[in-house]
Amino acid sequence: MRGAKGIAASAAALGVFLAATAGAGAAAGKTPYVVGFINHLTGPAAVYGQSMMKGTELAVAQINARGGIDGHPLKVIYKDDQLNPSLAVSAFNTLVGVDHVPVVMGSGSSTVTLALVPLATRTHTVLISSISTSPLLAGSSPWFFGVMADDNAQGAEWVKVAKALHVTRAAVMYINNDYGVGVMKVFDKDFAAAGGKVLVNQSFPQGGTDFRTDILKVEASGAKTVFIVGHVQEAGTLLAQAGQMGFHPQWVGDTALNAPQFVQLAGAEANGMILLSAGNHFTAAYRRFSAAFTARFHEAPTIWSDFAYDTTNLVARAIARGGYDAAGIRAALAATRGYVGASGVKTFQRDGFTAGNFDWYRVRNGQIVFWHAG
Amino acid sequence: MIALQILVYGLVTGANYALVAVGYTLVYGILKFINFTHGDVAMVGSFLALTAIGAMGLGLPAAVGVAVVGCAILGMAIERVAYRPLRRAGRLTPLLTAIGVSLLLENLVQLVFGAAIRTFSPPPYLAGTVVVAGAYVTGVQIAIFAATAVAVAVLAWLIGRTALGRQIRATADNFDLAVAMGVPTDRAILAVFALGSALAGLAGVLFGMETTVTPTMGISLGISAFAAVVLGGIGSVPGAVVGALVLGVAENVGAWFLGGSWSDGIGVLVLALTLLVRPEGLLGRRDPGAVKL
Amino acid sequence: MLELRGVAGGYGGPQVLRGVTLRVAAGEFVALIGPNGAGKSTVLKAVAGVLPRVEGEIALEGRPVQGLSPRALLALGVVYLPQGRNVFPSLTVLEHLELMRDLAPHALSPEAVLERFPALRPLLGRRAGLLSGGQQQLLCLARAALASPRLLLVDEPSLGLAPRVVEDVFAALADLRGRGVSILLVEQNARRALAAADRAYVLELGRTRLEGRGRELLEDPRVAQLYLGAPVSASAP
Repeated sequence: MRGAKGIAASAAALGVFLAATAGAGAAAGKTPYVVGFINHLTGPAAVYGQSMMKGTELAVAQINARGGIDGHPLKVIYKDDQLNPSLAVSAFNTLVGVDHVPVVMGSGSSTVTLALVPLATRTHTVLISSISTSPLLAGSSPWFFGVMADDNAQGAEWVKVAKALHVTRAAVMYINNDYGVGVMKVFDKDFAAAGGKVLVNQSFPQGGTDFRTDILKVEASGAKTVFIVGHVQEAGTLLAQAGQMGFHPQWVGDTALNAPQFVQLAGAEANGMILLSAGNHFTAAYRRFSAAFTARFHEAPTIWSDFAYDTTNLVARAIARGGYDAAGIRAALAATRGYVGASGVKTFQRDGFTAGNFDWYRVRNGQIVFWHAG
Repeated sequence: MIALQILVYGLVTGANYALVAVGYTLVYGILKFINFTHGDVAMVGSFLALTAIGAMGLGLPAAVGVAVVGCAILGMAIERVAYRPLRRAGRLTPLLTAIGVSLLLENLVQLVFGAAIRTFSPPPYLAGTVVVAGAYVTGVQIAIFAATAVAVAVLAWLIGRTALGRQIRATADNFDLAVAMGVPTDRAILAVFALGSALAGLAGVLFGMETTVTPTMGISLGISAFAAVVLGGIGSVPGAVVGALVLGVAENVGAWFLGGSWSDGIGVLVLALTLLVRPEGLLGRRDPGAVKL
Repeated sequence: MLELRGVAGGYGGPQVLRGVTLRVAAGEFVALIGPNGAGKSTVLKAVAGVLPRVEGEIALEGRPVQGLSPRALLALGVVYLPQGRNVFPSLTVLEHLELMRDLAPHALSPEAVLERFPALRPLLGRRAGLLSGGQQQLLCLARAALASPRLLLVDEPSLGLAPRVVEDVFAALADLRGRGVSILLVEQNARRALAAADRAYVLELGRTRLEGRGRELLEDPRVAQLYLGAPVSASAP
């Protein structure tokens, strides 16, 4: 027995050795290209950060399996900001000051990303966010790039939804952070311009858990259609509480709510709700991404995983074209036109954001199903 | 009837705060320090109940039992391991320890349960809604009122009418004299942690049914409850209850007029105005320290 | 009943007690007097189990008791009344009696004690923090009596009280002694203490210097020199 075990162990060790040398042949011959990643990996918004980390991990694995970037393996240093701007700032300083990365991917929430923009400008580091969409970020720095279209596009998209539903009077419920306020303001302006009337703009707190009085106020406004922008946790709880209170308007949500966790939290009240999705998810590129993601993590990707996956690939592509330094990466990103990613076609505009398009979804029997290409 | 409805929501919020606030005030009364792990103990109560219902298949009453007993044991363990060795170490040291224990609990729970947001649905017998004078009150909300009232009444009886309660109040009034007299002060302090934590566990279950359950929920719950304690008068049990109800109503009135994102700000404003007029809080005394009932 | 031999100790800094030797026989009333800072209260703390550092021998009926907690001493029948207003301000008078009843193994009923302290009866429901100084001291003695102690350690019971109330306090102590309770009394009011006690010790700089019957010490010129500081006979009661 002892002998057999020893042989088996040797064989296993040999196998590991062979695998390691094979890997080295593929992407370990030269010094790695190191890039930074900052996101909400723990805390109340960890659901976003974790799924983006997985998208990035998948992209890195594929890039390195193909031989890296000109033979240099791509390496990502992951940092947690817990949705806290000051933690993000210290993570950024460590990545740039200690690890000397030319590019940082992050963060998720616009509020956190906004805190990083001045640092990116000052240190001449590329800051590329997968899903931050606040209009405040548009044109904020020559070093900033946003892979998801900004909220200006999303607010305008809501007006298209309102037109499709023949709605002229509606209420808005928005989470009280840069993201929620951004979407609310753009929608209010565009909706008014299109002849609509906003009955009430009701804010609700980030991290809040009890929204009954806010719902009561919206119900009292007589609104039959409610546009809601927020995070999964707060908005999901809010819809569930509205359902308990017997308030059942036509809900229209933003892209951040297009997640099974939201529908699960919101319960039956989510049925019939219209949700946006940034980018296009019915393409061959998305199906390939989704299959690889599921094979690797044994779970379906979230609607943020594909953006993080694209961000990582765009960064690798920019390093390949512009070289492993911040100025080269910036120039290469800015020149990106018509890149076909998992989350859609990417063309960076002058303000740093990609020009985007949206899919419309509807919740039916607890499932988010494709409804309409917006 | 909207005013009445807002009042109902405010009282539900306040009842939840009250259960947590009572634990803060009891521990402050006896040890003169703010036990900042207390909100996280409530969070652990939520997860215990979640496990009892989900993984163990128990009903709600049994799950409440699991949370209450589990939290009482947790509270006693925290006192024994984290605070008792520091009892003569001044006020700042246990405060820092409390923050450490908080982080430990949050991260342990996240390690075991993950960061995902969870909910547990009320059982069918609490799923209904009744209309009281035009205001809607759900079964869960009635359960919250009833459970809070019973829990506070039992606590009042324990502290005010039993031998253990007399020993707790004696220890809170004058620790050195209580020791010299032979009062089992260590046991009294453990009992305070057990009682406060048991109520926090109950609050965790009730709050979880009304909202959502996450490993970080204890932070904001703890901060609101602490504000309620200061508002009511620190060290005073009736003060904690009254402060919690006032704060809950103020937050919801603020949410109506200014938007929900202002509710925390309204809470702080009410607190600041109260303390300007009555620095000792609504029901507090000018000589803080005694546990009053 | 109680025997101290060569007891030294303090609070962690310099030694306060440097050699205390004294004895309290069963049923005896012993006073401990001395100038300020002599360490009188510290002796009681050493016996009562609340002094951080104690060396030497402390025996209760021949059994060593140093290091025992106040709670263990209470079980052996030792009750300690520290200096000052020793009440819990938010507890009522009745609750003070109930508190002791729950702790002492041979406690009397509150009713039995109230018969001996009738002045407390109308105050039963009042919080102790609202009582006068004299009422608080009576409450302390009633609480101690309720424990039916075998040895009572009393620290400065007359401090800050009106003369008439001081007499009430000493009457209560005499009553306890009449019921067979051994008493070790520390008192600043030396004349009053020596008049009431069977025997007394004079403590100076942490050491027991003199010992004698109360009346004898009162007239001892060394005591006058050491402590009373004035001609004795003229002002003795």
